[in-house]
Amino acid sequence: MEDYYDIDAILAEDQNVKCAFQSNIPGLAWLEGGHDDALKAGSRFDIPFWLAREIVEHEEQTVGIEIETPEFFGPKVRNALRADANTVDLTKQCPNFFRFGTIYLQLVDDMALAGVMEGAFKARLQMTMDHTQSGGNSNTTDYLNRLDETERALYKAGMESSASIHQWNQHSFGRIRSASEMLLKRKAP
Amino acid sequence: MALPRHLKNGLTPLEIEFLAENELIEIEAAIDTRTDLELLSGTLPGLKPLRTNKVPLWMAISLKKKHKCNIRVPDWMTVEALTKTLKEEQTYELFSSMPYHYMEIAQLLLENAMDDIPSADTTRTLLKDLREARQSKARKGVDSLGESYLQMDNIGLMEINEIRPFFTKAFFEIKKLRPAAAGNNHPNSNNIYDFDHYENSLSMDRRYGDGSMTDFNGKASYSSSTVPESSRRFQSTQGL
Repeated sequence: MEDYYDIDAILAEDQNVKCAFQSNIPGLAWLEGGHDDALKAGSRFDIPFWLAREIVEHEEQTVGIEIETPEFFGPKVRNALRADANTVDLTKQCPNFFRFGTIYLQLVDDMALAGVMEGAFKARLQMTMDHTQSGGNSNTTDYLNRLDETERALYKAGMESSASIHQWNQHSFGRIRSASEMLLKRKAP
Repeated sequence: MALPRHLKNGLTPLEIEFLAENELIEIEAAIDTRTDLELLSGTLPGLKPLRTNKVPLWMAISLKKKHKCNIRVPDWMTVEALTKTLKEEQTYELFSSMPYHYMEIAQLLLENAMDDIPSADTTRTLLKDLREARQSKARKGVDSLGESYLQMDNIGLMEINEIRPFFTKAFFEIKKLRPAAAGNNHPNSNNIYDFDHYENSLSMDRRYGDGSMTDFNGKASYSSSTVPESSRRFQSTQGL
């Protein structure tokens, strides 16, 4: 189980998914934006994933809903990830792609998707690692923009450690420097 | 623990350097201490001129700075030895055997005892080549990541410290993505393993936090805790 207080997990669960309700629900039409009283059976609209999960897992299962596979897990993205994972812009698809994928797969059985995600993550990992070793000198913004939040955190971690080794190699540890916050302040008007 | 983020990933290079300063190194002292040296870590035989003594690196450097000794270059740091190791490194797939603290010792010696190292420039270049060759091997480790553990024999402390934050995080993520492990943490599944698994993940977090994943033989292994594979999975369509 994810850490209850993990803000990233909370954000990932906030991803909207399209759901189709299979029965009338009195008093919930406002979810769809209507003014009628009851939510009609068969209506489809976006609700946050955490809500969908609560409904599906409700003990009495009074409400039948069907979660549709989100577009970013659809065949188009899957094929792109299979073909060349490194070129896919995951931020555009879903900023928390892998994180959301994990919690999504806990609810929905989709072995194919799990395989695709794992393969893609591994393939992209190599690239991310290479970029952390470059010391931030090469032009990486293009690549960084394509990373999802999980990968970005990884990149940051790798970057920090290789930067600290680099600093140590340059003997720049003993020197007194102004704090990075001060430099930012100076630049501001 | 409330530590700043850059300290959470294990040791900093400076701390590692500090650890490396405890390694023994041979010196030729220019002073006579007459008595044995009482140190916290133990007693060292007294220094005598024209004899080689083994002292901790920090003491050697301190004496060197006062021009009271010459440091003997360790066997592995001579140009011949380094050339040989470099060749090995480039031919074989495994890491060639180097001292656990080789990067730190080499750096400290090159910094403080340049005049004791014959052809220091060549040594420096060789060390750099060696490091790059080893770094690219560590990079290849990413490929094999995702099994239950990753073994890298003969890797130095500084090297493992460099890749630790990245590898541990990546390893953890891959584990989460694995189909077998992915479905285990269902909040509502009433299976008895839930508590166990929660405990597991907690202890794993703790393990990632400190630097205890290396044992001191210079081996690194990232092991995964086994997670029970029983959990209730839901189909997306649940009927009425």
